[in-house]
Amino acid sequence: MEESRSYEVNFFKPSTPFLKENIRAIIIGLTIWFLATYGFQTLLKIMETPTPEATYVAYQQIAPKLADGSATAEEKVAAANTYLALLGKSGALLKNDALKTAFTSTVYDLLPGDAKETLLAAATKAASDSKVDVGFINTALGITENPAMMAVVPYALIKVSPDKLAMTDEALKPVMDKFFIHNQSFLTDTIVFGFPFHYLYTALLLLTLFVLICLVYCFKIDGLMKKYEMEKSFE
Amino acid sequence: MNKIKCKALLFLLPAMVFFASPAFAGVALEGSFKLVPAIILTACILLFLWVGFMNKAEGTSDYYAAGRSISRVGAGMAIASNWMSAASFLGMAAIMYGSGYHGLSYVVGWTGGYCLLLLLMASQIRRFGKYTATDFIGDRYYSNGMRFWTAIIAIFISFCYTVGQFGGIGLMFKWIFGMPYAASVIVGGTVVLAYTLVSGMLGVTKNQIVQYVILITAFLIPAFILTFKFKYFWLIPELGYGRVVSDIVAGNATPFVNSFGHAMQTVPSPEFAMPWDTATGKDFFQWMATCFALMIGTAGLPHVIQKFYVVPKPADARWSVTWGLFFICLLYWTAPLYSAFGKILSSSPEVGALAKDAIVVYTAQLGSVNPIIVGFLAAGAVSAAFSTVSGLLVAGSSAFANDIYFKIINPEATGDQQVRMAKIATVVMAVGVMLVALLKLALVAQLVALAFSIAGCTIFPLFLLGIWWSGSNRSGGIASLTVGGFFTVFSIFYFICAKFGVALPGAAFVGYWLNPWYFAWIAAPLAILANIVFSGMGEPTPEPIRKHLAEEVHGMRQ
Repeated sequence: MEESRSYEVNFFKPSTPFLKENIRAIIIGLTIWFLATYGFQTLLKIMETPTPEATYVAYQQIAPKLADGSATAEEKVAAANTYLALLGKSGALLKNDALKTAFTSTVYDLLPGDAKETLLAAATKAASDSKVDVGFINTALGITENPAMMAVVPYALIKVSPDKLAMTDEALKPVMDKFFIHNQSFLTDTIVFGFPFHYLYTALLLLTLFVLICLVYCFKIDGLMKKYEMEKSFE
Repeated sequence: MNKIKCKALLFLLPAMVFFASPAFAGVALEGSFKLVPAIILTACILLFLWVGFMNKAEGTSDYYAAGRSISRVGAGMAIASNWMSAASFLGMAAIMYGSGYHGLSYVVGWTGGYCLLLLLMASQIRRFGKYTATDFIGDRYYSNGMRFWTAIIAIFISFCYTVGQFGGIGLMFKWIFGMPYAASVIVGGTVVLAYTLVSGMLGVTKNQIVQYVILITAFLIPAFILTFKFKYFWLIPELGYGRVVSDIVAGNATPFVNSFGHAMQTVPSPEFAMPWDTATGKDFFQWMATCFALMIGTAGLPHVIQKFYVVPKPADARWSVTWGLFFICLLYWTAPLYSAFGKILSSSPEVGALAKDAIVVYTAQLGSVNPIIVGFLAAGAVSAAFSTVSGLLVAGSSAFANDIYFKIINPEATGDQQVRMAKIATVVMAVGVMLVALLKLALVAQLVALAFSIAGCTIFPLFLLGIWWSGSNRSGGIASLTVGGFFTVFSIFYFICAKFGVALPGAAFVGYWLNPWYFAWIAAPLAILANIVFSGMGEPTPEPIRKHLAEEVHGMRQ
């Protein structure tokens, strides 16, 4: 009573029963709000493990062999597919000449003799015309059932000279690390309603929770107003 | 009577479009004049103007606060449409399309802020009983200097925000009419100006309800169509697109093609959904800081706070925020769907680089959605931008007319004079925005996020402490505003210098930790701290203000 006559308002020292309950509701609401938003993201951060894509794991075994020339035909196909999958990720990567050179060189290397010339011709043509026929490359890479990969091939070719092939390149490592390693955990790998769980949580459940917090708070305060008979005098 | 006419017109709209439809064809994403979208857009604008004219403001309190005659659900819709701008309608999907999970920090930040608003401020602001955010600060901190500077800040925030919107309007007018950016900015800007001017806030509020209905319908219909067409769970598209996300992550094959005939499939792309993926160039700190800055910015934006004066009672303020958040979420639950479909439908390199800000519309086109509906979608985007711009113009002009002119320059001014000043301020502001938008600064799109950070570290701390601590006084308020203002100027200065290639000491440090998008994450807590520390040193808050705060705002009557 003393405090209310001095007209002191302090969030942490509520002086009337109504304010006490009101502030309790606010603190509970804000705590849920804070933990649900920032707590979950922090959990996501704590749980995460940098996880390379499967194709990159395989590639890392193959890369040294590409460099010293001991890679088998299958390994070259796998490497070319890795390059292709990387090129398909973003338009910006299609401007990475080292990457395109690695792809074209590897494909050149693994093709049979007469197809090599066809590849060089296709690479020259692809620079100006994406409608170039690359069916033989698709077949050689075993991607004829994968339209997403096939679509990238004409854009992945670059002019190479047969005496200067570079099937792998140290400069590619940072690019591959950047695009092939992802922060994953059971939170991202569990699928719920088709979503990766963390995505479902952040994009849908969290927003729903926000609406619920607001809804419950509104009912709570309306209840308090009734309880303390403040509706007429106060609202 | 007006309501009935409104509804009738809403039903007539699709019919008009239907009869005019056969003229539109073709799959080109950009380019020429598009007749049907043009008709839909023109019809929408005529509708807005007509609703504005029907609900013309008469007198000061009408102009500022719509005579406090709007229902809870209606006020909620107005809050939602006032809130959802081109940034929500177009920009969010664009960020997720380009930066994956980082984009969700915007989705969460722009909705979670409403919890802060409701729990800490909404009904208290309404009970304080002022017309504008600046009014509150000027009275609560009993300082005309504070009033003046917050009015300037409010105008600056509205200005930044509006320039960003004009970018969106320009983009859509360009898409629909195939006319150059400059012309579309001038045409679009003139129309917004016309009805804001004629109708004031009453027209604006009623308009915003109509605009909400149009924009949410325009946004949801293609979502149903896309999920239905591609055999995902279409009854709730917001859940149905989950499998699209997983398909993108795993690079799964689908049996479908886009409107160019490219397969609807990506190479495996976990970077689209995995948190703070290095491929997106954004990290964990940036996610958290952006999200936090947007949340407190939401609770500090003058044009958002101002909406609470439109409702009759504090209880209505609370319920209208809750309704508002729900209506906002209807769009926000759906926005990531567009980025996911956009990603999977545009994966072929043959599609080329798309203007990210138009990805929502392109997605519908790539998914072979009926051109009429795509046109309606584009019109919805313009509606979104229009409704926000009109709210911003009112907030900015009333900060000038009410807070600077009436309270400081000419306290003798009559209601008529005030309304006239508000109108002049609206015109000046709109013309200024058009000019800046015409400069086509690289900054334009980023100005919206900047507006949030400014609001978050200047206005939000003043409201928070002003409402919940009677000990916060003028000295504290000035300190708080100075800290927030300093960070704002500092961050913008570094950003502009970096933009023009001037090397400043510590530029990398400032660019990362105090980026204009999210510097409020630290600036706001420091402003609050300054408020507390300096309040302790200054004269106590005068009794009438403490009494008003205790009795009227917090109901401490014994």
